[in-house]
Amino acid sequence: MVAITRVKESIYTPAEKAPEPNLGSEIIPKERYISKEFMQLEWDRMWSKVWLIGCREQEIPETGDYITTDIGPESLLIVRGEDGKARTFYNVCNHRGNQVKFDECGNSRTLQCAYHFWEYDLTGRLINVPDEQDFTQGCPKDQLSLKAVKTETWGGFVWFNLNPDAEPLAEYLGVIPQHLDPYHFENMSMVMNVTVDWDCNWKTSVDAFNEVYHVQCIHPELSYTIDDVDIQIDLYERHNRYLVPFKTYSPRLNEDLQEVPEALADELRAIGMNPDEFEGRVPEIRRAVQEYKRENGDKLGIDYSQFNDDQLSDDYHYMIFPNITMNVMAESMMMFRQRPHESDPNKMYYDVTMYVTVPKTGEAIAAGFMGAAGPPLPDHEHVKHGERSLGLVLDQDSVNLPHVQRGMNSVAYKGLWISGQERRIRHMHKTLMDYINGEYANDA
Amino acid sequence: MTAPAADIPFRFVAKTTDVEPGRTKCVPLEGRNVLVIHMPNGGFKAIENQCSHEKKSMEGGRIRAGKIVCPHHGANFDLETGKAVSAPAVLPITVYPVKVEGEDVLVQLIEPPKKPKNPFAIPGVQGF
Repeated sequence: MVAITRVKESIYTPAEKAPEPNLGSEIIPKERYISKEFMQLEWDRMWSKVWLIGCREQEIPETGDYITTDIGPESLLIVRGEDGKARTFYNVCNHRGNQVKFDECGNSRTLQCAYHFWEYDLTGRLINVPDEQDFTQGCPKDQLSLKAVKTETWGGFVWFNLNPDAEPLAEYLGVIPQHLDPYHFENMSMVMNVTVDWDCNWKTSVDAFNEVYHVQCIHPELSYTIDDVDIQIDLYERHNRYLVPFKTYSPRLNEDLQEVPEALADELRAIGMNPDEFEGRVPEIRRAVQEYKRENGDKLGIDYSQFNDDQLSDDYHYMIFPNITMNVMAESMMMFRQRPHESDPNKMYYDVTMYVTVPKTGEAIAAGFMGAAGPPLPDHEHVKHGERSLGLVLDQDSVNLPHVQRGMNSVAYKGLWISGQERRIRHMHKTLMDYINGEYANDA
Repeated sequence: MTAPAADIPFRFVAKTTDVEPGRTKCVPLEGRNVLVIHMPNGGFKAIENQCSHEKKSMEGGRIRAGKIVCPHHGANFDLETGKAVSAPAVLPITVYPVKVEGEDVLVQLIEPPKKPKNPFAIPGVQGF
């Protein structure tokens, strides 16, 4: 059988199990997933109070680069200023309410509304009003400039918070930078950027990525590459994580595999190991991968020095409250941003972005992984559910979720009946209800 | 359905009387496991006897409205196209072209649809 051993010492990212809070065992009312009243409460007390990822810094590298991003009923405009700073504004002109930018991204010297050419500079200040003398009440610049939103950066991402009294981002993120800085997301390159319209509540999606209980049913293929049983779950203040052993197989298979499963063999070949020459037992592969990467970091062009051994093989999966779930590997990161629909609790936007660390050796580049300058920024695709494959694993999840949402709307269903291995869901609801109940209201 | 390759011969797999209407029969043939299906309203279908979900046998699976229901976890597959039409399956199964000559059911052992080696791989995305 598989026996997972874990590292005991931390290098940078703590490996220790966090103390377990008592979160109770009550049913989680389904109304949180289907009711418009609760959706409004979420907006008023949570979405408008928390730090959210707006875009990748890489998406607005030059002065005047901008991107628009929607969260619930609001559209935000994120702009790179002449001082190099990213700023976020409500995407609305204070003249007649037109959106300043309609397109997803672009570059402009100033921010000019297309309706009557009111013009703002890159700091949001109103600088030009055609026929200004015709406004008998005047056009006071301090009142009519674009409404700015708190903006900070971490991990190569631009974050914003609609609450003008919000705590600093670092305070909000809590343990997250300490845990994830060793991965250097800021140096990773984005290789995929897709938004999918999903027919489910944003939490239905977050929940699906915060438990591995479903793996045995929905993703049977993963039984041959991951251990979905020996999971370490850590619940922090707002955020949480679980550590999933990869490069191994599931104890649920209930057998001693004698041959390296094909999917696992393929993963070994991808890093230059030869599965045919592997002389150990299959459960020893995970450790062998850790040792191989430790010894061959230079050859692979990846700096593994800030990782513990488990991080070289495993998925350190984090949830940054409320809507970021990320599969974090030593060389890559797969991030899902779940955004609420503007009006319908039964719908959401599922943003799938993928990032890789560009190997730093000529050899790795010559091996065809990617060009020396790293991959070009991918175009953003926006598709409806089912229009585009996201790969087998994510397709398997996406088939199921609309049916979960339909089921939750049934009069026969009362709410979520949560197991121990699903307790990250309960923890997320604890944080959510703390916001709803005003526990974080005096944070600033 | 995968286009029948003209150069793949039709091979005998069963007699029409071997399988009652609405029933299935698994026949090993040249390294494959062919599930011969006698449709409830007549006619024959043949598939590779392996659910795309957990690779289990679908022998004895119910045939309903042009679909086979996997007896293990209830995945439904369209017997015309092989497409998975219900969870927990996502990937298609192999549907073999069939013809009936007299009392003989013949199948063409076409290649199965390709399955991704790496379940996390995303079409067109390098590094995953």
